[in-house]
Amino acid sequence: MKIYYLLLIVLFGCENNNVILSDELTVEGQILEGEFARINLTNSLPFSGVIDSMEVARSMEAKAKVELSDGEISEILTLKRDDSRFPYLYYRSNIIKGELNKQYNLSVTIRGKEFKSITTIPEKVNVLDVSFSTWEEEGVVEPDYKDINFTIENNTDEDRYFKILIKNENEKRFEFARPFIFNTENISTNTFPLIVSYIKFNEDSGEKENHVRVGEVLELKIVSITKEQFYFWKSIEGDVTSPLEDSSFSNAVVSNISNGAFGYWSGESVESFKFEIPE
Amino acid sequence: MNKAQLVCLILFSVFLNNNIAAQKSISFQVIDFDTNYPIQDVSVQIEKTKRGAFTNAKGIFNLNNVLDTRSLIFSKIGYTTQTIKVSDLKGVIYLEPKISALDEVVIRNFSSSQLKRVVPDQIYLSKGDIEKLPFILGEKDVIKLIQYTPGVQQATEGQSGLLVRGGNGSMNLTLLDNIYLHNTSHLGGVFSAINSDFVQALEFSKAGFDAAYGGRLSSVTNIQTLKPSDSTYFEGSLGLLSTKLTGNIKVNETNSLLLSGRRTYLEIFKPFFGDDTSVLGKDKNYFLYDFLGKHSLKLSPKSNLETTFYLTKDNFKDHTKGRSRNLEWGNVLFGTTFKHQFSSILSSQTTLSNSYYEFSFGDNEFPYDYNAKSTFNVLSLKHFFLWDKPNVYSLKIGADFNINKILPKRVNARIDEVPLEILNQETFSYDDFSLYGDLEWPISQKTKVKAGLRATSFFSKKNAVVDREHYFVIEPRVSFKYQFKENQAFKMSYQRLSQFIHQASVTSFSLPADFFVVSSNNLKPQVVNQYSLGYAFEENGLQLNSALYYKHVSNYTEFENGSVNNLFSNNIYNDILVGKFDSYGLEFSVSKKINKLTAQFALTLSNTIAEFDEINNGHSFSATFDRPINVNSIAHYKLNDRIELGALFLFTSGQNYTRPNDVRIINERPILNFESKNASRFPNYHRLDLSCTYAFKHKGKWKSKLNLTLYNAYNNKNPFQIYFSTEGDIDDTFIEITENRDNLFPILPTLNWLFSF
Repeated sequence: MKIYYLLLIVLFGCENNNVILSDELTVEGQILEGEFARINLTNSLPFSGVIDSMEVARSMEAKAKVELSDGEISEILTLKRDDSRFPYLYYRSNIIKGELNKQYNLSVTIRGKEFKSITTIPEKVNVLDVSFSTWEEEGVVEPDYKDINFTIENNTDEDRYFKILIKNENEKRFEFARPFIFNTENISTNTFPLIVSYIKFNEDSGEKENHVRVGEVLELKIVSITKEQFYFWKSIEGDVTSPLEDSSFSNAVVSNISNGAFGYWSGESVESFKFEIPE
Repeated sequence: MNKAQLVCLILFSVFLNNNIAAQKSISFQVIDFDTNYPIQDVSVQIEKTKRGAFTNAKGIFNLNNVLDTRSLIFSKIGYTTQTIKVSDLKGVIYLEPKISALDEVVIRNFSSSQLKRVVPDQIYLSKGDIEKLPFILGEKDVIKLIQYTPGVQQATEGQSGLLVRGGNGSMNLTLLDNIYLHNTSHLGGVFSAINSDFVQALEFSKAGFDAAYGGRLSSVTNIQTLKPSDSTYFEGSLGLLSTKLTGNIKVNETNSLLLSGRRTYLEIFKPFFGDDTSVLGKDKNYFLYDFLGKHSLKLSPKSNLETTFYLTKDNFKDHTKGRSRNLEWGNVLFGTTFKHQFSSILSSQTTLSNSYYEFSFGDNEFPYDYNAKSTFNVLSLKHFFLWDKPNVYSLKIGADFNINKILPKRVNARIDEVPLEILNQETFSYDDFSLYGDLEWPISQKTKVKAGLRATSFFSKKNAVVDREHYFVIEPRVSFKYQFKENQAFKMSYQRLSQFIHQASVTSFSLPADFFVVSSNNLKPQVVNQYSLGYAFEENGLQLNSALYYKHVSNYTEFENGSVNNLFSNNIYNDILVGKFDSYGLEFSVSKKINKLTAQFALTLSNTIAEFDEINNGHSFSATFDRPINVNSIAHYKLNDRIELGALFLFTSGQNYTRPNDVRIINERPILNFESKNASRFPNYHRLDLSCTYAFKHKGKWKSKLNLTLYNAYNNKNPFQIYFSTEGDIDDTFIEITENRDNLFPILPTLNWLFSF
């Protein structure tokens, strides 16, 4: 029997443990053209069934030393408060404002570890035309609903990356539009169409609901982002095209912060739109 | 006959019935243990009498008025004589060739004797064996039944793809009448692509492959379709899930046809599968059909020509959540084999075939409307000579030439009718030419060796993505059997094999959407080194086999973040990660026949560890197809001539998956951050299937049975997939994270009416 015990030990003694791949720090940092840099720092929350608002509030990180440099000037960011969003405590630059073609080095020091990242600010999207077309779902025309059609200029020598945010003017917060992220890696023409919709899935009815309704006023942002932020979101989104919805598959999250911090540090340029959906 | 004679006869009959009740008429078939062919002219004598009979060309004999308590003596020159009690006879009597080292009478269990074969861990199933196996969802599915042998795993609930000793689905070679069959599984694994009704025999190897087989690392499944019959017959079934019909038609003395078709109609029973969370929910639809046609032509007493055509088709539609997803896939096989017997020792076989597989996938939910296609085509010419002198030597020398064309993906995507340009959607072509020799011979009274060598040249053709490349590989394989006692043997085998195609899985599921890419100058062929050590013990009615194995695969590939995400990639090779995996394990099986009960128990303990520089920061992780514990047991009980009972119990470690590790706040939303790859496991998978078959009274050639199968008899909720959702956001008082599980098949009764005529 001894040999069988030995075999069992050999076979099961090597079971792998979870390798810790990421630090508990989450960085959400942007710098926009003409604006001060804004860095949100939070710590990870334990994965459990329910997380209450106290735990969420405690996840804010306010003890870090955050340093920003544009190659010429270097400054330590100060902690500010903005009750309109979470985390309501954030770090902001007071001298450095975003400029195109400049490189911004971020350094966050906390718990004796330094987390570094570099970014630049991409150019704004050039929208040539906006129009609205009647929404059609599986061949059925829905005259009360529209798709928003943009015609966008494309420089074929350069890959561009975008995220699209949308909300009804009565809503407090911007939601992810469809598509949420988009790139021009595969587009070889000088212009290309982009069809945006605002669809939410209603869990109760099990149906998709279109929120681009005739007469409603919508606000939309096409945000030029860095390739790093694009691939961060892509890895967060997971395998959205999997034939099996929400399969037990997950990607390792792509982050451009060193030392295993989760998140991104990215330059952004925002083009904003506000329109009433016409008949 | 006048009235008086008639009355006397009736009275005599009544007298006989009352006084000689234990006498009966019997009819059984005698079959060669090794070849599975019927044996003609076997003398069947009632012991201590001069009465007896001889078997006919089908190996069948009839005897009338035989006492249950009597014994029958089966004898034929060249075979071991057997004496079996009439009451112990069960359908088929196997006679062993006298030259066999095993002198004891061995009653055959579910599969053939391991003791007689040099190669360890080889499974051989004849048509008779398949008939004895239990029903699964109303089918005796040979591919699924191989899953229940040691060392073979299933991916998840209902998968019919084979995962052999840690390898993925692409590492298995499946041949149907010597023709390459690319895809053997259907969605959800409800059925395998092989309709068992047309199977004559199946041989499955996971070590010590015959040198005639190359190009795959993990296993070889060689399926032979039915041989021409002496008389036309049909068999089929009508069930709740599928209907099938197979005809073995004798056209004349030289021509015969085998026709077989099957169609499912799961769509009628979708209410069984529950809501949209089920893979076969109400807004989804799935069907499959397959058709086999084979023509056999006897050119002369020594030559024959067999031409096989095989078509499989699957169609899956998903219209849930407003989607319009369509998946279609199928194989088209066509091939012809010429066999010639030069002498009693020398024979040859030549096969020319083409195998085409296509998978297409369309969706409108993405930012684009798109459809994708993937194809795999193998045009093959094979030839070998076989010198076979039983128990002296067996030498096979042959050559294979294959022209392979693989299209990993061709995606047509449009945004508002404007086509999206995706570069380098090339077809990859390569040719491979192999020469091989395989020799089996006894080096002493107790030791037998089988050694093979295969030399393969691989030539890939240049296209926009890869340059012309040439690889030359030598693939040795050797097996030893040391039969130190009449009923016990040790076996050893080693093989080093190469594979020139690489599979990248979409998910842990063995979907037909998996991409295949060809080895190139930067992507070296996958290479396996496998060592096996086996022990076989057999006694009357008992077979015990165990094996230890170690397998190392280098240049093992995965796509970064799953292959579907690479649909829009301009160079599919850029997304390939190259790593390695090691698999080792202990396999044990025991089967025993006790009177009317035949039972088999199989246990596998194994570990498969993969390592990629780019995954988990280079740390090793449990491979997706790793299942440390696997237990299968099968039982078959013949209650009487009418009723047969069957049971199948499975217990397997859950599949690996990657679970959320913690929650992050980004963009004011909770986002799940996952742990290292495959660090968690699903709950253990276990299931019990029960079946009961009732045979109706034969009416001439017309035979029929009614089968009731209870799939997942105790309704265990085995998860098919696990996913997570978050509810609430930062403004809410709490965020709730729920783990959701989809189960594929609940308890599922199926009723099948099986018939033959």
